[in-house]
Amino acid sequence: MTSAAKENGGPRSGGEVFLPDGLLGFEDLTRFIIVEDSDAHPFCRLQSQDDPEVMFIIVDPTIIYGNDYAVPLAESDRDVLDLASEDVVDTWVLVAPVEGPERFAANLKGPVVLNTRNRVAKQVVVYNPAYAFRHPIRMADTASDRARLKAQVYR
Amino acid sequence: MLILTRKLGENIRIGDRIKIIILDVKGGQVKLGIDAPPNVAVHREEIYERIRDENRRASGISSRALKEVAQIFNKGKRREGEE
Repeated sequence: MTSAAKENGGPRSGGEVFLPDGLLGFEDLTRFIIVEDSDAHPFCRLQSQDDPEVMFIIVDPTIIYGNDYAVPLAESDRDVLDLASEDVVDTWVLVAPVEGPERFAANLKGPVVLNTRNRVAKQVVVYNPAYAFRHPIRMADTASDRARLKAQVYR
Repeated sequence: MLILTRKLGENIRIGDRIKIIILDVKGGQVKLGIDAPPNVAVHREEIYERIRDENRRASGISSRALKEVAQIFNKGKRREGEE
């Protein structure tokens, strides 16, 4: 098991991303680009290069969950990413609209893990019950914040 | 689809390295033991379906929503800073 938690200050945007397996439900779309808009920081766009209509909003999960957000990688995941021990991995989560006053939420159960060396990425399934399918879009950088947020998580 | 009938304690082999064991059958529930090498991801189907659904919801988003998300996030951040 390798932890794909952020290293070296979290994911950097920019550059092409190749998802050989696509995203779940979007298996045919494999070529993406991460685009940063200065007025949308810390959120970025994961834009499909195969279908210009398909775009996802992504964010560094450690910003909304905390620095202890970690993704255990199976060997099959490491194989897809061609992950070597010295490789640095970026982790992103997808943001989706939700009903209710929160308006948007992030899926902590299905992060996208990116090998920064070869720009190969994969959406990984995480079982950790602490991670919600719909986690509020709020700053969470302390343990007390996280405890408070956890109470607000809706599924 | 291959359909096999198994009794309690009987196994199924998939290739040389994957073994599925029928551990318990009670009411409408079957408890399976799965022996698989670490390079094989084993998950309940529901979690894939749910992530697929969430991905579909996430994909229908507009560029305008990106700014909205950032506004909501940054508003919350400011409010916390004032406390």
